[in-house]
Amino acid sequence: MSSVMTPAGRPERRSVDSAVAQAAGQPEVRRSTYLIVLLLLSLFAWAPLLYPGYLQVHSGFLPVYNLAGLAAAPARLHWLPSTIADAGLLRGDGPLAYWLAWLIRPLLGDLGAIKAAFILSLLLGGLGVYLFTRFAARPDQVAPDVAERAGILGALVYLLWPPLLAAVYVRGALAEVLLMGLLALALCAVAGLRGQVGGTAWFFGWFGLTTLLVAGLFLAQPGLALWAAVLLGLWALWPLGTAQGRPAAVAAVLAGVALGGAVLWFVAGGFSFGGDQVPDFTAHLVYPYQLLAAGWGFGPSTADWKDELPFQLGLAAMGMAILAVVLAAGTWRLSKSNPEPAAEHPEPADGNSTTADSHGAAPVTGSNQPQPTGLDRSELSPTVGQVLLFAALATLVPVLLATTLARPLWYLLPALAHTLSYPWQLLALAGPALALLAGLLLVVEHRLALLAPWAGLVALVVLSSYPYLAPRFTRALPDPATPAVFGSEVALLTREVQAELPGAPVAAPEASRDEDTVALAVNWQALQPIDFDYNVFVHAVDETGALLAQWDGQPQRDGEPYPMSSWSVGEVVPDTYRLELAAGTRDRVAAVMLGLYDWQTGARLPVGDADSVLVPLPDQAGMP
Amino acid sequence: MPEARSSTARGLEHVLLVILLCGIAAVPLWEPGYFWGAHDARHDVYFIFEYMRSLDDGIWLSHWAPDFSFGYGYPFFLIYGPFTSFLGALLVRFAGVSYTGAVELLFAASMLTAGLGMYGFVRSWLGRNAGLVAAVAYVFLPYRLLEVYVRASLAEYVALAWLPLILWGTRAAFEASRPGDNRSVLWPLIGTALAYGGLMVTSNLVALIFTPFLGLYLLLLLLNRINEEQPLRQLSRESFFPLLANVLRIGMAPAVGLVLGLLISAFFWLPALAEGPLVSQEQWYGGYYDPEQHFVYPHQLFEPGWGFGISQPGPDDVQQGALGFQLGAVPLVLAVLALVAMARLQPALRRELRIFWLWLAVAIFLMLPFSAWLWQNVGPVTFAQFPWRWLMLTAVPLAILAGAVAVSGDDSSPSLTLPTLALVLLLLLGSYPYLQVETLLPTPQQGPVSYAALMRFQQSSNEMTGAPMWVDLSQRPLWSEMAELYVRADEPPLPPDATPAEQAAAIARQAAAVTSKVDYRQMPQSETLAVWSLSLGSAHEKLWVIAGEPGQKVVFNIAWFPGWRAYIMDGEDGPIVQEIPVEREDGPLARVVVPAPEGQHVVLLRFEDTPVRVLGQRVALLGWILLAAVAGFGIWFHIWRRPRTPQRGTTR
Repeated sequence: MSSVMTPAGRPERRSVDSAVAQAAGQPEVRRSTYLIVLLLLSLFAWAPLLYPGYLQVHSGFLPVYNLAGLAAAPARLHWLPSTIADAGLLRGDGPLAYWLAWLIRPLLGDLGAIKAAFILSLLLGGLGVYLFTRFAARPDQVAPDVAERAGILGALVYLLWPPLLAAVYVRGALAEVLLMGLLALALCAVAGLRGQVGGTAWFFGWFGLTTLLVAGLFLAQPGLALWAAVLLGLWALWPLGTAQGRPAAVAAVLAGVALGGAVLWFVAGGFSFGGDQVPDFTAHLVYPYQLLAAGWGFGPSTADWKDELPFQLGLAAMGMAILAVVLAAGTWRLSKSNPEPAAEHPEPADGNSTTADSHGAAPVTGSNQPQPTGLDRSELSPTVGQVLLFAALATLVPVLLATTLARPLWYLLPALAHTLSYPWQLLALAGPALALLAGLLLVVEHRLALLAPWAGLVALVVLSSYPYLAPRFTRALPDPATPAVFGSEVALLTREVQAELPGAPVAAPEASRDEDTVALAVNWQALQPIDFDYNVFVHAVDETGALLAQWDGQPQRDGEPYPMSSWSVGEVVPDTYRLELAAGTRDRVAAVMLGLYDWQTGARLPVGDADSVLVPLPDQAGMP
Repeated sequence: MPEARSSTARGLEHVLLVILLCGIAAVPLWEPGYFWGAHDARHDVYFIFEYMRSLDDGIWLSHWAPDFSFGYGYPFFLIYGPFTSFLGALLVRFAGVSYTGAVELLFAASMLTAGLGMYGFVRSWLGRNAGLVAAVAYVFLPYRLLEVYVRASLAEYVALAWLPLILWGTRAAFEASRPGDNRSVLWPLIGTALAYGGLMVTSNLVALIFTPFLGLYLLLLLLNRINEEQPLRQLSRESFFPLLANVLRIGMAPAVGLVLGLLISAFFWLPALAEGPLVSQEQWYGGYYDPEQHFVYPHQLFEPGWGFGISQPGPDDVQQGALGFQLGAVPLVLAVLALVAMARLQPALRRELRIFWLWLAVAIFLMLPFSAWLWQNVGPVTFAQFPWRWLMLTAVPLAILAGAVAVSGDDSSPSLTLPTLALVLLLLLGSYPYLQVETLLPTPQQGPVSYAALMRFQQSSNEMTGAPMWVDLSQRPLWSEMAELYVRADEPPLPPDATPAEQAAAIARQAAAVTSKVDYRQMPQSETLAVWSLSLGSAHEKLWVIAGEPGQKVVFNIAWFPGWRAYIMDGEDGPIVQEIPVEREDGPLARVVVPAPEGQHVVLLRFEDTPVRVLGQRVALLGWILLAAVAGFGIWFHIWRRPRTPQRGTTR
């Protein structure tokens, strides 16, 4: 550690950035500091979940309904989320995310528990990539601070990765987000198992952890977990230096698959691979340009190229990953053409891979040390090179499979489509590897690990995803104990019979103000694209069910008709219906019935086992 | 020498960059027109307009705003820092700048001052690169841009320019007390005094909420310095008096600077403290102003949205088109990474940065709903009026911590590094989407600036309609005859894009419409009292009064407040002969009532300084004399101490 004098004549402690050059030793900044930094930076990713309400996402409040269903289930270990028509065991959500939320539920309630489960999943993902990148950066070969900073960068890239943000804030896919979190940890665990040098206890520890995490993937989202298991298997088999630990890693992954499958079988009471499949699966393949498109939307995936759902892989993530690969390739070529270390690239004393010091420059931020003029890269250790190669392939393959370029494959192997709802779900598997590549940029080019450049990269990551951290919120919170989903398309979030609402849109403009009225305020939410403009019916009925007043028509917004085919998925639509009652009938009104029907056939949309929702009147004293 | 020159030149690079980049932040102000729709944009203009009225009458230190409250007036500049209004009025009066131009000019100048101040402060202990990053962060923080382009909060924005200067001055004063340090304590002391005094007269609100944080920072600096000279862990009973001596020696200079700052600004804060409570504050509390309706929800600190509307109750401000409360993505990231940067610094500097982290955490906490108890029970917390206004105090630590990431720790290396430039560019990039202004043509309720527009603005917004505490707020005037006269004189109505000459003509025409503030409707019908107005000014009216019977009274459409005095004069231009005790109307408007002595008299009613205002001015004068004395002594001491070189021609 060197010392310089400040203008005031005091010794100045030079640390991290001069010590980036120090190949060995403990990080000068404590690891706990880096973990605190990671936790604070992760706030950007999950801060929107602190909104005192919920998100207008594609899944609507189904996770909340599911959790309430789990809490009410007599046998929680034999429960699967199934509020809507069963999507099949592989394509549907697994129970793990809800078990997790169920544990938190006593503290935060249904809604809070679901949001906490999202946050926890994100944190798991961030932590997983942080540890994975740290491992891959081989802290025994580079300065510990470089590994820590690479870990932070990778973790942040992952936490703010647009597909992950879209999974949370556009789709509300809780199970998938949990899977993405567990996958990063599982990759790290496999790496840990392969690289473990401790005793038997450590071996079994890593083995058990890997097994549990892989099993967790299957309990989170079984279909996607199958693909993830393949990825993990490849990672377990990937040539990294010696073959030591490889069989154990493969065995742990297989054990995890077996354990996950067994638990799933037990929970589901057998395997059922049926369920509704998205029609024209391959039409939802991503067009390659969409991976680079900068737009952001809240709509659904469509069977063409006009998706409103974002599929971009993220400017910062891709840019840094590409830079890492290109620089690594350049370094590799350099070392091939010049096997002897260059004079300006002396090997450090311990003979391990070089560090920033080995460039001959002592890179202290803002110092008057001579600044290198070119990209004076370090020599890349073969292990890091292998990791980079794996990460590049683990990024490219899932991405390619999700694009239209892979259409022939999906035609040739149609059975594969039964594991997914949409092909673009595979993008989730590319996330940890892409983030790893981005993080390893600091290992490939050590000078980027200096404080100021690293800070710039971290800021760039946040900045590039910042505009996507503005989800649509709603404060219309349903009672999760009484879900009302019409068909599988529209949820009735809230319904409340009120006294006459001043200023509320009048559903029947001809209504006379002198007459008694009953107003029903509701909040609808579209759960899928609705291709038919259903009519709403509202009936005021007495205790015998006899009709006292009624209103039929299209849903409204701000007093104007707002047909359901115009609703975007996840959108919350508030509406108010006012019924005029004939004189003297007000006291007879016992409830208001609400439902949807096909105005061409008169057929009503089912809601559970019924065809309408009965909304009892509040205290009669509250009536006008 | 060449090395020194080179170092200076490289230092100038940073300063030049700060100036140019601050210029970028001011670019939207160059847009033709004015941002009439910004929250306080109209207020800023009319504050200057009112101060101009006083300045035109030769009153340089104004307390009374004669046209507010529809012409009834109230002592607005007694409770509101007058510095920006004063500067604006000077620009209008002597530089011929338009009212709106003066506001824009002051905003731009404050950006520059804030940037250079922050650069100087951070540069003095973390190096030039850190200074540059901190300066850019301080100017480009989203809330700082919001203060200009959304809120147009001129006084608050200018006040925030003083903060880094105060921190710089006090810190330098501490450093100068170091044994063997050759730096003079004079300039830090004077700088501290001027900056703190400037803050006091610019925004009492900012001064009130900033001072506790300043105190905390100074306490840490004091402890740091004492610890250097007398390690605190080794203190014993015997070391008490040496400790006391050290505390006095080290803390003397910054304390003197701050006290001098208080003294030179006493002409404002002393009367404000004593007489401010005599102005009703109720209309600024409760209802919309209930602070608990305006807490910042945690997610809003990270919300990228931007709006131009006013703060809304609940968590959906941005969704409703209102202003956003984000901390700023890039500055926040850099502030977090400062935790890593801190590990590189020596313990004293690390502690100093930790204080700014604590500062940041406390300021954030006070915005959040979790701090509701403090808002209900701790008075000083509520000085900010709205919880989100504590955002202004996050700007200082955020900028400093952001700068810490680029710390060199070694000022002998002043070169501008590429990573520093990259950080600066990222700061700019992060705030670029918010560098926008809504330039509009004024509605008749806004402008162009004139008496009539001022009256319409007051009526449409219920702003600038304060009143002394004796006015029954439930029957507060909502219009007045004076307002009616001003508006009638706005014929033909001034077009929104009126030229300065047209505006000046309209203002003169409207001013001529109100020749007296006497309430002639209160004159008795017995023809025993006749009143003619001889002259009317911003804080006086001269009357010719003929009272046929004793006990007659002249009622003025002016809100009564301590300081209104009336005299009988010997002729229109003669000397004062006798004082008439002014009465306060026993009615809801609590207006000025002057008893008219029997006979024919010239009566002068004018707003004068009360004893506490006089005291404030004298204390301020004393402060300026002391400051001058300190400066003089310091300069003399500096010259005296300078090593004398042999004079030419002397023999060896």
